[in-house]
Amino acid sequence: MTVTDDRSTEPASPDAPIAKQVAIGDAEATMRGRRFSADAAFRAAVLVALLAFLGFYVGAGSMVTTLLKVAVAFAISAALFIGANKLFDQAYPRWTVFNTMLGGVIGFTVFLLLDGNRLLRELSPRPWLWAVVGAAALAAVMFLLSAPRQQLARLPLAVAGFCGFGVLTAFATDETVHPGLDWAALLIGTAVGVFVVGGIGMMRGGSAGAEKGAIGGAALGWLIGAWGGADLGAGSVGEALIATVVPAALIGLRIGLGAEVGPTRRRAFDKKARSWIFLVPALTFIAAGLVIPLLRTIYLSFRNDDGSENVGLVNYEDIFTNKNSFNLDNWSAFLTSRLFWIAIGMVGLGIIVGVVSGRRTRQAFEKGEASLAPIFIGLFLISCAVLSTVRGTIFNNIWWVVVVTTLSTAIGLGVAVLADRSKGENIAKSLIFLPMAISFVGAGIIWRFMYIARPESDEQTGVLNSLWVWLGQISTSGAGKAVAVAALALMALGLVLLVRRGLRTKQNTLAGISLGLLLVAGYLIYRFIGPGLGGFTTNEEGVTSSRTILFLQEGPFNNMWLMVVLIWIQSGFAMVILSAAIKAVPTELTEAAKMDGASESQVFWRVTMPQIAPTIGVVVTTLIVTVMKVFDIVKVTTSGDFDTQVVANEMFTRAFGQSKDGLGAALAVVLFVAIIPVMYLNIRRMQRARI
Amino acid sequence: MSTAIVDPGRPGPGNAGVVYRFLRSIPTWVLWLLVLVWCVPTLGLLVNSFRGRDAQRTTGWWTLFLGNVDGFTLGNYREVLSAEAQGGIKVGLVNSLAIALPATIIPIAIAAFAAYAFAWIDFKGRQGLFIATVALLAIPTQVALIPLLQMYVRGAHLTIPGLDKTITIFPDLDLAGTTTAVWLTHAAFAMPFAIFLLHNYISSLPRDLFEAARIDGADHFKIFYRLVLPLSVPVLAAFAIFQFLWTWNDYLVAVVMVGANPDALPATVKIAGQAGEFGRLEHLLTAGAFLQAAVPLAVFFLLQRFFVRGILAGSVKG
Repeated sequence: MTVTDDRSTEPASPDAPIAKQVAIGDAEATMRGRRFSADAAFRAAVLVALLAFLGFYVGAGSMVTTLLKVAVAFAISAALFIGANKLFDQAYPRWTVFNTMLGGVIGFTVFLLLDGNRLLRELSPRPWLWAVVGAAALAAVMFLLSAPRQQLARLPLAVAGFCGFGVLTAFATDETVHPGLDWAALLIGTAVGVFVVGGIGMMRGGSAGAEKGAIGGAALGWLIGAWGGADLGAGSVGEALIATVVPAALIGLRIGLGAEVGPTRRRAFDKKARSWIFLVPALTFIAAGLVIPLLRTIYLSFRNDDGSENVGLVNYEDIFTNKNSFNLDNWSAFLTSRLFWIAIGMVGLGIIVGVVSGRRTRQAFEKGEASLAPIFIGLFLISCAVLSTVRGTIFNNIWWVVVVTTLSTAIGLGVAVLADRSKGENIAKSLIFLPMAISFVGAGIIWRFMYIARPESDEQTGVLNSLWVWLGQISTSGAGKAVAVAALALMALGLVLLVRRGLRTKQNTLAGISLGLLLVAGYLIYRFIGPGLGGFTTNEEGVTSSRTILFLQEGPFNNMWLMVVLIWIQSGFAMVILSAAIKAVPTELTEAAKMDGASESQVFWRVTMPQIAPTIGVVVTTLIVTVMKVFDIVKVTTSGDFDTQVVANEMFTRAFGQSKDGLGAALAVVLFVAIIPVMYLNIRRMQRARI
Repeated sequence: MSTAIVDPGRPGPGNAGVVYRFLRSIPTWVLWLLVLVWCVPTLGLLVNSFRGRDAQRTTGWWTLFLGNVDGFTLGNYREVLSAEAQGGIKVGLVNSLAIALPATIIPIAIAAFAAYAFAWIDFKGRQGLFIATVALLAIPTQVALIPLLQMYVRGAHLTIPGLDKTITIFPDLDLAGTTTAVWLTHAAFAMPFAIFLLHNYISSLPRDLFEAARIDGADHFKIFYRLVLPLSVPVLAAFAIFQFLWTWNDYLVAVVMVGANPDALPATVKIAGQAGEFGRLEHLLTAGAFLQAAVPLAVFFLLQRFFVRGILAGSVKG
């Protein structure tokens, strides 16, 4: 019998939880095969029944209202979309009908907006009547324009028609907005319009383009100069006429000069318009909900708290000089922390191992798990030691990113590797993944119950404090101490065996891990025999009583206890992605390495790891984004007290608790800037995938 | 083959075999220990939600497994689900649904249009626009919240620079404090991700399909709803599950947009508020938190395949 890896006998199952390329969101392959199986139908039925029960229980009435609202919103969007498509369906076969309808829609929208801003005379019902009037007028103009087939008739018809529309608009405007024209502004505006739009036209279409552009630019410039430059409400109907009729006539001239639209151009027009119909709804949402607010946030970050005054960089200065967010006072304290020196020791150990084993293979430094792992762990601990001494919101955030990203990826990778060769793999992975389903708020609450500390005279109801106090009781009772030491000694013996075995079979990972655990066991034995371990305290009279840990209040490592919550959630995520990546490593590669006599740990570090390195990159960047804006967990557990504040929670408190918009906006911008590198990486990755 | 591989750890006969087998099983033990540790917090919440206030405060939940059944009760759930109770979560669940349903359904349709246009309609600047859209994926929600809340509170107005004139772009519709504000925000935030996900799928549909339809005289609109929509059901389902859970579990957007209106709070905000007054409502918090998590957990256990796919597909979302 040969001991072979499970993976070689059993190819990666087609049911592997996710497709290989997670970022691509490839959803088809596994779904197709199972769409109508009885099992799936059963699960769906149970789920629907559950939701129905929930809906019924929380009140059928409110459910119906909600669903109705959704249906109405959906129907309106669908109607708009289908209507736009139907409208442009007419562009090719029925040009006149299309133009008339388009004119109607544009007129309707323009007058609706004008009257919505109360710029038109009072005419009820507001604003719908004016909108209908505008629609009818512009529809008529467009009808006139598109009906005749001769170029000769187009020009006068277009100019006359648009002049008429201009007159209507001028008379429709309310007297309070009649412009007192400022001729200088008007002429400058027109000139600028002519030059800018004419220039653009010249670049795109030569002299003919320049001519058309100049006319269009003149119309635009005149409109802006006349209305924008004027003192609204100071003018007369005459001036309103000048301000509207001239640009309207220019627009008519511009359209009239253009050649009659032939079938080819109609086809092209139809195609171009169609892409916009499909895009505009989504782009509207993105622009209104993301891009414009983002720009406004940046703008607000340079303003004072109610946005009324420009304050320059004061908000940013506030963030980076405030002791609560950026505090370097105590930075040298890490030099005296035990953690730091242990970590330095580990790094040194790693370097020594690397150099010594490098002598064997004639390298200056051998890169392998035995040398790199201690260095890596040491560096991680050093960063923890340093970050626990520099305090403040910004450093807390960095600490979160370092710890949660590292540990989630490491635990996820560890579980993926361990589960890959064991029975009940799917159950184990499901259970590790389960916290992903729970909201951050829920997770925060769940862990509050884990961390809870009752008064020290009472029984502890939180798992962790209960264990801690129990440890204390053992280490202060003679019999308990003896049993614990005996058990630990047995474990240490086993570990010694493991270390020996690992060294003999050149499984450095096994030997290293066992050695590390052996040191821990040794330390525990020392604590049990010597000063004792666990939650107890002894007063002067020698009476011992239990002592609890206030996990959420005792700084600075209470931050670490909060991070545990996010690690608990995100490890499952890292595990599933990495597990899929491991299964995607071709078995030929690992088999070949084994044939050449590589041990299991060598296969893992030298073959599997390089193959899954890009996936680890994806996991790490994704986690960084998630961790960077951590908010809910801190809010629910400590609310940022006890030195656990993070940027996102600070931003929430400032902007929405204290209405300091400027400072809140500046904090949001800090978050945004921190994420820009990740955005850049995402784009690069996507561009590479498309090539 | 068995001669080619020399297993250095090959056990000898007798006792060494037992030791060897034990050593080999250690990774499995470590794995299941880890699984156990991972389950303890959730299990603790579940058990405690069935124990009365006194029981929760005086004994650990694990004593239930040691035979301590005192204080076992369904009272917490009864109280949490009754409408009048302080610490009740019933209205919160309704509001959560009122947010999650539209926030799931509406972006799907709109994003599907755009994804189709990016994948199969040729137009100038398509590549650039698509990359710009995807670049917005990782943007943290926080950067848009202040201006959006301002817009919901007092509408959006543009003051023309240099002049003293203001144009209303978005009227004050009194949206602040309503669930509508929340799902509108979610819809906007979901858009880049939805477009990205659907585009990847729709653009991978075979080109022949579209050419055949084009020859038969179908226009883009017809191709979209006759061909693309039915074929994209799997990816639409994956997105729907992800988006539903995301919005159901969301706290930040909801607390910003409706935090001031106690009638419109979703379940997450309600239980987070109760967590603020930990001592008094602690015993109800267990049941409330578990009810809030029940919907995602049901999705998790019943539709695990789709759930995992949805979560993972969403992993790039910011």
